[in-house]
Order: sequence, then C-alpha cells, then structure tokens
Amino acid sequence: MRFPKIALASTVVMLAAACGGGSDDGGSSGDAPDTLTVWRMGDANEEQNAFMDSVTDQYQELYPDTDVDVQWIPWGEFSQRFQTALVSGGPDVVEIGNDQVATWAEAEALYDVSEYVEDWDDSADLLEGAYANGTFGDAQYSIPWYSGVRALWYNTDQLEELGHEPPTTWDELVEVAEDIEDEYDVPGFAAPTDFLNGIASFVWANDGEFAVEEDGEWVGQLDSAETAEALEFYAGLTVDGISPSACVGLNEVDCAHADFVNREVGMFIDGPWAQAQLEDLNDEHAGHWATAPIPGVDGMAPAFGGGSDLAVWGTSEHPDAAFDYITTLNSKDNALPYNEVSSMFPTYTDVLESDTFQDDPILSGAATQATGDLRLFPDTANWGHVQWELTTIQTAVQRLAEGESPDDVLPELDEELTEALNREVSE
Amino acid sequence: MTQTLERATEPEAPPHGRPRAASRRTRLRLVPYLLILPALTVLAVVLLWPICQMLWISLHDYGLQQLRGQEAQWNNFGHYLYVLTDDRFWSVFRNTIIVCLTMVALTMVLGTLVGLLMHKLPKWASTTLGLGLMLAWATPVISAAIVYRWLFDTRYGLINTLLTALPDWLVGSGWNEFNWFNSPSTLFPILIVTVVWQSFPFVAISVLAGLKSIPNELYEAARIDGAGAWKSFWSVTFPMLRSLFALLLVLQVIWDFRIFTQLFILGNGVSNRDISLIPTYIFQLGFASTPPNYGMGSAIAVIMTVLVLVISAYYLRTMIRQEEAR
Amino acid sequence: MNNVHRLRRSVGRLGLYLAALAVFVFAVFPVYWVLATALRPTGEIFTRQPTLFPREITLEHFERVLSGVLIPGTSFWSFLGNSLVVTVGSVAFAAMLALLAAIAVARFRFKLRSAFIIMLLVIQMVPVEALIISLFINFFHLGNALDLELVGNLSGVFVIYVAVALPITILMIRNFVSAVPRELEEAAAIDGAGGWTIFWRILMPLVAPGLAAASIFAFITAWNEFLVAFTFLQNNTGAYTLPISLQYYFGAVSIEWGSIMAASTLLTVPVMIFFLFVQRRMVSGLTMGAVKG
Repeated sequence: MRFPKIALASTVVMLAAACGGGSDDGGSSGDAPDTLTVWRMGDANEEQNAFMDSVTDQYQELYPDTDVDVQWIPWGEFSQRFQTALVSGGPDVVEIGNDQVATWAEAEALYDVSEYVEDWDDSADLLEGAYANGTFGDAQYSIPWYSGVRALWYNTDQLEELGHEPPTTWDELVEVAEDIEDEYDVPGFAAPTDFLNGIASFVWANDGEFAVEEDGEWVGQLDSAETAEALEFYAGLTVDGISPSACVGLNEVDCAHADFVNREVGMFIDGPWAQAQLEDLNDEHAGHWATAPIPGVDGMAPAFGGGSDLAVWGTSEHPDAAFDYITTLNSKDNALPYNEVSSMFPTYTDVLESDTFQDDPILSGAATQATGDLRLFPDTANWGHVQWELTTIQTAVQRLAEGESPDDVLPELDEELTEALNREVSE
Repeated sequence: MTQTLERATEPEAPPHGRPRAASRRTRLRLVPYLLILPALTVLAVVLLWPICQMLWISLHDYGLQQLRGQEAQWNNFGHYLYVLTDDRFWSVFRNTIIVCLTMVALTMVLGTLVGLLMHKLPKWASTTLGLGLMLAWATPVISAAIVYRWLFDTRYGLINTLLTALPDWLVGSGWNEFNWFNSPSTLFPILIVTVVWQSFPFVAISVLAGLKSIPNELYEAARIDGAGAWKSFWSVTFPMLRSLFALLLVLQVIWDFRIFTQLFILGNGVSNRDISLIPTYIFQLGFASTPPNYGMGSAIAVIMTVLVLVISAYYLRTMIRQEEAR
Repeated sequence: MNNVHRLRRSVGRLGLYLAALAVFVFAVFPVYWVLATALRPTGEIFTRQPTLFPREITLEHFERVLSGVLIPGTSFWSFLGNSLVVTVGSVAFAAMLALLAAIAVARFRFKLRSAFIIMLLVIQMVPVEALIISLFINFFHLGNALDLELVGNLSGVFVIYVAVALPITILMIRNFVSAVPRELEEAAAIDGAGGWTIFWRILMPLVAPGLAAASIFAFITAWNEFLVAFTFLQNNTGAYTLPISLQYYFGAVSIEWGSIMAASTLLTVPVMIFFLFVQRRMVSGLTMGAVKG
C-alpha cells in the first residue's frame, strides 16, 4: 500500500529535481551564488584553514560577490551528515573519501559533472585510475583530488656507501637489506605484521588479491598461489632475520620509527607524513632521509591509495559555480601548497613527475608511487570489520612470521575471511 | 469517577427523545473523541507510526537505496540473527547494563544520603545546599558533558594537572597528558560521574520533600524503642517512602538507560565502537556507518524498546491498575 | 558526663557540616569551573598551571560567542531564537492539545478512554533514541508526500518535541482537571452557561497553574534535547538550536574552551532562572501521587 505511493512521490520529486537541474545547465550558468558551501572532511587545523582561505581568495577572483563557507565534517560524522543533506539539501561542494564515491553516487547524492569536465583542460592530466573512480557509465560523479601513498624510506648515505640504488624489486630489497645488515650490523628492512596497507603492496605486486567477488559472493584469496606466495615472502623477511622479530604484532610506527631515526634499522615503509613524527623523535640524520617507490616483483608495486575526491552535491543550485570551485581548489598550482599542509599527493601525472615533487628526496619516491597503480580494498561494508576487528590478514602474516606453516594458517584464515566478508549486512 | 458534563446532560436526554435531542446526544458522544483527536493525530504520526516503521524496517534490508524509494526486501530476521550472535553487540549490551545500574545505584544512594543530610541540617544550611544542588540539576545536559570533558582534558584539564602535581605514592604516576576518553575503563567512570552529578540532586530534593511529610512521632517512637539512625531509616523512613523510592528508581533506570548526549560529547562522537552503549550503538549502525544500515540500527532499536518496556513493566502495571481502579 | 555528651554532639554536628560542605563543593564546582573558564583570558586557559580563580577577568569569549564569528553566517542570537521557538512553541502547542485531551479523559466516559490512557502510559516509555532512525526516514517520506520540508529545518523537530511532550502532559493535566470541583461546573451549567463558557470561565483559571507545572518538564526536555536536533538539522547551520551549536565548536580549529564555556554559560542561565521559580513545582509535579499513594 504505502510503498508504491512513496515510490511515486519520490519519483516525482526526482523528476522535478532532474528537470530543474536540466534547465539550470542551460540558462543560468552566469549566476553567482551569494554563498558557496564547501564540506571538508576531518578536523581543521591552522595550516589547512590558511590554505582554504587562499583558495577562497582565488575563487573570489572568478566570483567576487560569492562568500565561501568551508565547514569541516569530522570523519566519524560525515555519513550522518550526508544522509541529512541527501534528503533535505546540502552543500555545493563536498570532499568525499574515494572509497565512498560509489555508495553516494548510487544513492544519487552527487551531481553528474561530465559536461563540465569536457570544458576543463587539466582533466586530461588526471591519473586515469583515480579519475575512473568517479566514472559510472556515462556519468562522472567526482574528480580525484589527492591521495596518500606510502613509500620506502631509506638513508641516502648508507645506500651510497654500499653502492646501491634504492631497491626496485623484491630480490633487490633482500640484497640491499642484507648488505645493510652486513655493513652496519642492524636489520636491513622492517616488515611489521600489523600493517595491512603495506602488506597489500606485496600481495598486489604478485598479482594477488585479498578477495574477489563472484556472483555476488565474496571469495577469500589468501590461499591462492599468488597471494600465498606474497604473504610468505613478506613474513619470510622476519623468518629469515632480515626484519627484526620485535616487529611481529606491531604496526609501522611502533616497529620502525624509533629504530629508523636512530639508525637501528635500514629501511621501512610509511607515508611522507611520517616526516614530522620522525623529526620529533630524532632529527640528527634527517638530511639523509629519502623515499623510493615500494619494490614489487619486477618494478614498482601497486599501492593502497586512500584519498579524497571532490564532488558537486546533488542538491546544489549552482553546479557550475560549484564545479569552478573544484577546479580552483584542485588546480595544479595548489598541488604543492596542499601537499605542504597535508602531506597528500595531487592526482595529476605531470605534476607528480615535475621537479616540484621530484626535487625533494622525501617527496620524490612517494610522488612516483602516486603516479603508479593505486588501489583500494575490496568494496564491501564488511571490509572494516575484517581489517580493524578480526584483523584476519594481519593475523595470517603474524602466524607465518612466527614460523607456522602456510598450509596450516592460510586455508583456516581464508575461511574466516570469506565468512566475514559475506556476513549479512543489509545494503 | 462520574463525569460531570455527562451527568448534567442526562435530564435533557430522555430514553425516547425527540430527533433533535437524539442528534444532540450523538454529538455529545462525539465530543470526547473530538477532544482527543488533535493529540491522537500528532501521537499517531510522530510516535505510533514510526514505532511500526521501526519494526518493519528492522525486518527488511534497508539502506540508502531504500531511503530513496527502492523497494525493501524482506530479510528473514537476518538483522536479529546477526545482532544476537554478534560479540560486539553483547559487549555493548553488557556495558550498558553495568553502566546503567552503577549510575542508578550511585544516584539513589547519594541522593538519599544527601536528602537525609539536608533534613538534619538547620534551615539556612539546608537551603544553601539546596541552591547548590539546583545548580548541578539545572545545568543543561550538554553543558554538563562539556565541562566534564574539559575537567578531564588530556592536556589542560584540571584533573590531570592535579594528579600530576600530587605525589606519586598517593595517586600513581603517568597522569601527564593521560587520555581518559579512549578506553571504556576510563571513559565510563567519567560518564557515570557526569550523569550522577546531574541526577542525584533530584533524588535528594524529592527524598527531602518525602521526609518532611513523615510525622516526627514515628521517629520518636522508634527512638524510644532504641533504634539508631540505621535502624530507624529501615523501620520508619523506607517503609513510609517506599512508593517514592520505587518511582524514583524506575525514573532513574529509564533515564539512565537512554544516555546519549553525554556519551556523544565525552566520546567525541560515536565512531569509537569500544565505548558504545546501546543508544549510541543504534546511532552508529543506523546513521554513522557507511553505507548506513537502517535495518540493523532498527533491529537494535527494537531490542532496546523491548528492554525498556520490560524494565518498566512493573511500573506500567501499577499505573494501569491504578487507572482501572479509578 | 554532660561535657562529653555535648562534645559528641558538636563533633557530630561538625561532621554534618563537613559532609554538607563536601556535597556542596561537588555539586557547585563544575558550574563554577564553567564560569571561571569562560571569564579567563585564553592564555590562562591553555596552561599546565591552572589557578583556582582567574587572575584576570575578560569578556572576550562572550564577545566572540555573541558576535557569531565562530560559525560563519550565523550568530548566537539565531541559535537562541531557534531554541526559543522550538522549545516555547512546542511546549505551548503540546499544552493546548494536552488540555483538550485531558478534559476528554477527566470529564467524559467513552469507549476508547482506557485504551487511550494505556497507550499514553506505554508510549511515554518508548525512547526517542530507539525511534530516531524511523523518525528520520518517516519524516523524509512524509515531507516528500506532503511537499513539506520536515528534515533540515525546525518544523520536523518542532512536531517531534510536541509529540514527545504530549503523553506526560496529558496524564498530569488530567489530574488537575479532575481536581476542579464539579459543583462549580454544575452551578454554571444550571445558570445556563454552555460548554465553552464553562471551559474559559471556570476550568481554565483553575487548571492554568497545573498546565504550567506540567509543562516544566517538557520545557526542560526540549531545551536540552540533542539527538533529534542533531539528526534533523545537521546540514543547516541556520536552523541550529543552542545545544547543537555547542557541539559544533568541537570541530573548530582547536577546541576553543573559553568560547565553549561562555556559550555554555549562556545556554545555562535561562534554565537556572527558570529553575529558581519552578523548582518546588517540579518535585511535586513529578512525584505527585507517589508520596500519598
């Protein structure tokens, strides 16, 4: 009884919205809004605010009479906020986590900006994979903005002394690490087990996956040949004594930061954002720090590329002005300033490859990594449960690193993974 | 209880009345319905219908798509099966019960003791203390939560400063920049203090009002029988105020079971699932998760509603009996 | 002998006063700390050596809050306005509806009377915290069907506050209506007064104080209400009520404790004044029936 009625009502509303949107596109593109509302994710800080103010100044060169209202939405609250905005009107521009775009695009919360993108020259330089994140059929619901990628940290002076370039393959990684151990008597590479974002690079480099979706069911891949081989390689670094056994059960920060700054471990994987924390610990050798892309089987590995897109909210009355804000905020000129306040990387190939990012030893490796293959974890609401609560994969690596046999560990945990990913959570 | 208007009209409505009188009688019969109609409409739209909806949603797959009008699929009690076999839910459930009972017990005991204390104090002291209690009582819930968050603030909070300044042999060490809000074992005690601080004044003042209604002779008699303070409380005060205590207890349980705002402020939102209680857990699953899972949230909401009704069953039964006796 | 007795009594008395003092400090200190923080200069707030009393008094935080610079495009006064509108409005509206229903329940016998009362008793137990999801969904669909904006502005919140206040208000006012002696009404009826006249001339003046008493709780509940307002108003800063605006400060650059405390003070003062007047009624209102029953 009720549902047809509601469906009808909402169809009418949507149709009305669609028609309204249609006429907006054509006629009123010259209109400047009085206020443009922008939702940013996370907590503000002084530097971020200063950056956003500078973007407002740039934007007001285009729209002198428009005020820009930047509101910060804590990560823990954005979903609720989006829901209210979905049903009763929201901001003009939103920052949206790149793993969230599909959910909200499907819910018709975002505006299709494909028309505007055509007239925007810089769009050609966006990283293909990142851009595709917002593409759904013919529609484009978001524009990639930034990503946070990890890279391999090393000391330039050590590698120079040993006559090595930074390792680019697994074999080289082992070779360099062993040489570091021989020369300096410290472990060459830290491979913490509670470090899914880093472990993922090894699995993906070997063409492995954590899980694949078949006919609507998730199937764990921990005991597939590729994934198992990668996990064994990673855990083997500890078994073979290349990575300190103290790192078993630890994350990258607890395992490696203090040892790296004190030169008690040669290399480790983390984002460039670790720089400030590292310098706080001990900046004596900071001048020698540098990053390189994460080694893969034969060249740079894929990396976990969590980050944010920018989108025009579906209810915006000024989608054109909103899109102009996106191109202002996400201009190539703003890439470096934004990296300075956030340690995040732009999603333009040419910018990442330019001197701006390649001249800084700590940025260059990660910037190169950011031009590579960036991926996300399996797209299911249960993933958080697996990653944060069950810690299935971290447990698998930990048990392998403690010397258990893969035949015991992987089938058992793969079953746990499959079951967890298919748990009944309505969507 | 006979109804005045009804009775007043009886003479005008003889058994075999003329048509006019008959229609007047029908009209009169409609009057009470017309009078409750506005209230009933609001209640039906805002409470009754959503209660049914809550049940309905909890039995279906319901998310953003369904919110936008897609038809929801029956899911065969999936949410309930999930929730009732989920360790996380049971840990939230257990925490809710423990925290709630602790709050209620502390509020009742402290409130009663303070009520007794005020009864013994001379008038000026009792009034002054009463004013002080009123300050705590009248503080808006959100302000109370905020000030406790500030008192226990990690870096600049008064409590951490004090604990750092006090000698280690007394309070232990490690209080510098101690974060109270991340783990259940430190956050829940603060939550309990915050809630008790706000609710014991009401109990105290209610108990004081009750005490004033007890004739002094009863205490005299008890004293002659050689009863001390403890004994005369249990032989005189408690029996005399039994129904007051029962009411206060039920009210406290129901109020404390629903704690949301304080936990939201102290826990800085609802994203930290370790420190969830049932109300914040509903919000967490229903609204704060991505994608939102209205079905699952509603299932827990149904469970919470049933719990509240069970807890208040005794009180409800008493009230309904009283009603029927009227 | 006598001295010992007197000594023991004064020691006991001292104990009482000390206990009273301890309770007093426990109750009052947090309130004092709000005020003390609100009145300190920022430098004194963010220090590892806080002093009990502010060394310097400043109104800068109050000025910041009142000027509205903390949340762009809004002001404290708009939040206060929103809070007053939903609180006073919903309570007054609920009182009106409740009075009508209470008259029906107290003065008429009708078929659904006890069903209605039992429904009120049960429904007042259902926690809003549990209903919030279906309220949100329902109001969105209802708003769509009626072409009204129920989410994202004050109207939805207003209606919910009315409904939440209704059951307890009806049940309480009903007692006041019953307490009005019927002889008065009968006398008036004999004098030829109609229903309306009886209502306005006789019932209203006698029930009005009860109406006020019954509304106190609804008022305080609505003034404090957080969850519904938070869920329904989040996307529209212009419609924020005071409690939500306070919460919003936590998302600011760094938590401005001075401003939060100043805003908190401003939120508290109206309730304190209100409490001073109605405190006694609250106790008697809530525990009515329990002591004598």
